[in-house]
Amino acid sequence: MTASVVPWGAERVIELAPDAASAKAGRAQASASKWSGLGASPDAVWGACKGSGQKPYQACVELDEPAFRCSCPSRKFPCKHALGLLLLWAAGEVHEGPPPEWVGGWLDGRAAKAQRAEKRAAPSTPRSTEASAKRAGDRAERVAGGAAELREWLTDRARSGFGGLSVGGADELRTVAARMVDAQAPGLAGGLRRAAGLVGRGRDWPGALLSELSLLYVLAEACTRLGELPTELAETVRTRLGFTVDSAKVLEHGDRVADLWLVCGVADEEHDRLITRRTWLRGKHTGRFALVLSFAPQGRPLDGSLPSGHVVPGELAYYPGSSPLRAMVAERGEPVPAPCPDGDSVAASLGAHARALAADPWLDRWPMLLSRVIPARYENGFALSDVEGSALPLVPAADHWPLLALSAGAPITVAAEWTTSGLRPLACWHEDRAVRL
Amino acid sequence: MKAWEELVSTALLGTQRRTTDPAALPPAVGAKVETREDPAEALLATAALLTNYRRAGQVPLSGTLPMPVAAPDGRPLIRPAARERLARLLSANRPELLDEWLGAVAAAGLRVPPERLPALADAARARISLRAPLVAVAGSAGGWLGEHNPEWTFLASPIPDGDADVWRYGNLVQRREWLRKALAEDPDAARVALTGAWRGEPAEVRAGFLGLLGEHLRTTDEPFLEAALDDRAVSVRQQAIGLLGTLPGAALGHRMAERLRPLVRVRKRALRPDVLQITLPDAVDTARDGVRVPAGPEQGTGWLRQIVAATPLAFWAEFGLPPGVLRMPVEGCAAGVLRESWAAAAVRQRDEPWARALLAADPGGRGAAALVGALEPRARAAAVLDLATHVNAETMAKLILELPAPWPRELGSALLGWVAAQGDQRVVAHAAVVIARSVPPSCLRAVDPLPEDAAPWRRALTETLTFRREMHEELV
Repeated sequence: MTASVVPWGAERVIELAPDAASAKAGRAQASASKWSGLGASPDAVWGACKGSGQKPYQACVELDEPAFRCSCPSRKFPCKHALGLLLLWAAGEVHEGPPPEWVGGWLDGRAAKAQRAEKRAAPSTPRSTEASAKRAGDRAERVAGGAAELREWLTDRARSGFGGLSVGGADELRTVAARMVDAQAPGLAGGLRRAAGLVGRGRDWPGALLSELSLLYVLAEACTRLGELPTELAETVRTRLGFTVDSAKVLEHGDRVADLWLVCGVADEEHDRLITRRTWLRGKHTGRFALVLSFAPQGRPLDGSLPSGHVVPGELAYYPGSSPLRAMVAERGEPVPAPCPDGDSVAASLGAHARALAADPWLDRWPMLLSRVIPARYENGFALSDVEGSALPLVPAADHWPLLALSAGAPITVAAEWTTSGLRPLACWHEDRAVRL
Repeated sequence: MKAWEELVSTALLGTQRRTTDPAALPPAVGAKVETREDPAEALLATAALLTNYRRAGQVPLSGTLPMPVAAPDGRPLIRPAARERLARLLSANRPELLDEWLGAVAAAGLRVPPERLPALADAARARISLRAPLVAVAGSAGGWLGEHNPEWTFLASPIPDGDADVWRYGNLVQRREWLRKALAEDPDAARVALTGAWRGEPAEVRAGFLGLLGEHLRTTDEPFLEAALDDRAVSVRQQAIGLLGTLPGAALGHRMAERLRPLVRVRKRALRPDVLQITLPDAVDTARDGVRVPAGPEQGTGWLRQIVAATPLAFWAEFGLPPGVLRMPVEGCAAGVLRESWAAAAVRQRDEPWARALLAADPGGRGAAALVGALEPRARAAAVLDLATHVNAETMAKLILELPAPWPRELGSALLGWVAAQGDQRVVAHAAVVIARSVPPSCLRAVDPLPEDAAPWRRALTETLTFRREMHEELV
């Protein structure tokens, strides 16, 4: 457990809020007049907040993970009291003191639980390895069956024409997607659902649909000849099909890279009440990008250990694949706010994207850290142009005004995701201050 | 790309009905699919290759038109605590506090993080009073946003320094700003510019400019205001009458006094107070001086009200000092009519002795708040505290709601003391809301924590006061 010596900024606290309403409610609790018994140690912050009930709510936050506890009945996690408490602490209004009994008890309980969990994670017995190998074999068979069925369906469709999908096609695609779920191939199912969302949308929907489905076809085809593929590419195909890689294996065998990792962008996306957080990292010395994924059901806290705009010293373990990008944090130190980093030109970033795409044809987004770009008008929207005059369009239908206001026409360093519909800015640096967009 | 469009057409129709010419493909792509025999499989494989061929081969846009660069803004950014405060203000829907906060940021010579400007601009779209302080706070970045986002044009009013062309060619916001500055910094030039442009301006613009002039009025402005009494527009004439009423010794006041003289007589009585005998006017030649009352049974009273309100209060000196005049019985009209007209005159002419006398004669009267406002700022606190000893809490609470802003410091302290001593009543709770947001920042001091069982309104008062105190402290 590392002691949290660097005080957090309010932005970092707000990033923990499960949604905007919680952030607002948390801010309303961040008034010292509502609290009593406030205190902090290097590991935790605690206090009692006067609520609508008779007894004040006791809230406590363990800072390292962070973990939250509050006696209020809210099902939000962290609740507004925990957020308000952290905001007060971030504002320097909570002073060091010895933890009261209820805080100490909870922290000890957590430590004991963590130890038990470590014990459980000890090497499994040979018998269970055998059983899991059989399970894995069964699943591989089912996925291969699903992939063959999808190939069949797609070639049939290509023969009779995608034009037929314009009426009722979205439902048909979703039905096929459901069959892929049954075949335990969530990667194929996800692609089909994306395709279902494209039908009839926009002027160029047939082109977009053809791109999505043809890549899915190639994926399904690759599934049937996994054995012939080079190991790395086979891993990429397996990942795209939706096979998960055991994180213990990644930690054990994955490519380990130690560096000062800049957290250049954080993007949250909600799907079926599950929030996926994509955290993009870039190594200061290696220049390598990495993508750390974390998941949380709605209303639960997302991983806050990699705050946007901070530098985290540590070691990553990359997942296997032909174009390794996804990684997990093996070891990390304390995040420190980062000054404006050196980025790349548009041409260099596009080059890196092309190389990554050659290794992983199913790559759908690629990180870019663009140095000193200026905003420009492009068609009905905006583009970012580098010093060489090379520009990339910003995704349409998004609010780019905060970024535009930060630049006001002047060069600015931007971290973004490059997607098929354009550049999606995630963070930028304004006078050495990182701003999450 | 032609080959791609061909492929999409084939995919739409189906390979049973249409085929694509493999020779049209880029050679690198064609070579990879020539072994495919089934045309449907070949189509899908080709499409996948071409998709990534195009994605990987994406060239950057060139020749996009860069946007102009805003002038650098050297003011320091607000501190992190104030940034967090802004987030709370934007989410809390307390626009009056946001107003105050923006004003304080501008006064402190600070600027806000630019990424917050769009949210502030959206707030100012809905609430016009936020616009002027926001323009000051947003600085050059705000002007830049106003030029590029048509919904925020109100931000785009950069004032080129000392440029007289702004007065001639600028938009209305810019011209008003120019005049406001010039009236303060170069009053003579401002008046030359104003009289020069006067006749060509539309009526509502003339009225607006006159309002600005009124904030910097000098006795030498009387001829200009007299001329405005003949203006085509009612709004301008009304404005001119109001301003002339505040000018001591103005000819308008003399003309009103002449009209009033034949209407007032004193009937002496032995051993009892003299009586003010009022004759209601039956015809008045006052169209030019703005005295207009619709015909009807109340026309005479209406005329009297307007004439008394526009007559310098010095007129009454021959009948005694204000308290004495107020004690005289009245005949010929209701005593209240005279009293209300005197109150209107006292407020307009900022006549302290009359305001004091009127307050003393009728502490709970309807116009009491305005009369307090007519007193010199430092005297208002004592006047209000004196009123508090004469009227009940309900009347005081109503008076507080109407007290003109801004409150001087002494008044703020006095009312904080008053409200702390009150019991839990609904009217007091209303007044507490006004007090919480009206006391000037200099009154905001750390307050003792309330007992656990304090009433919600008292809690809200403490919270608002604490919030405001902290927000000002963060901006130092």
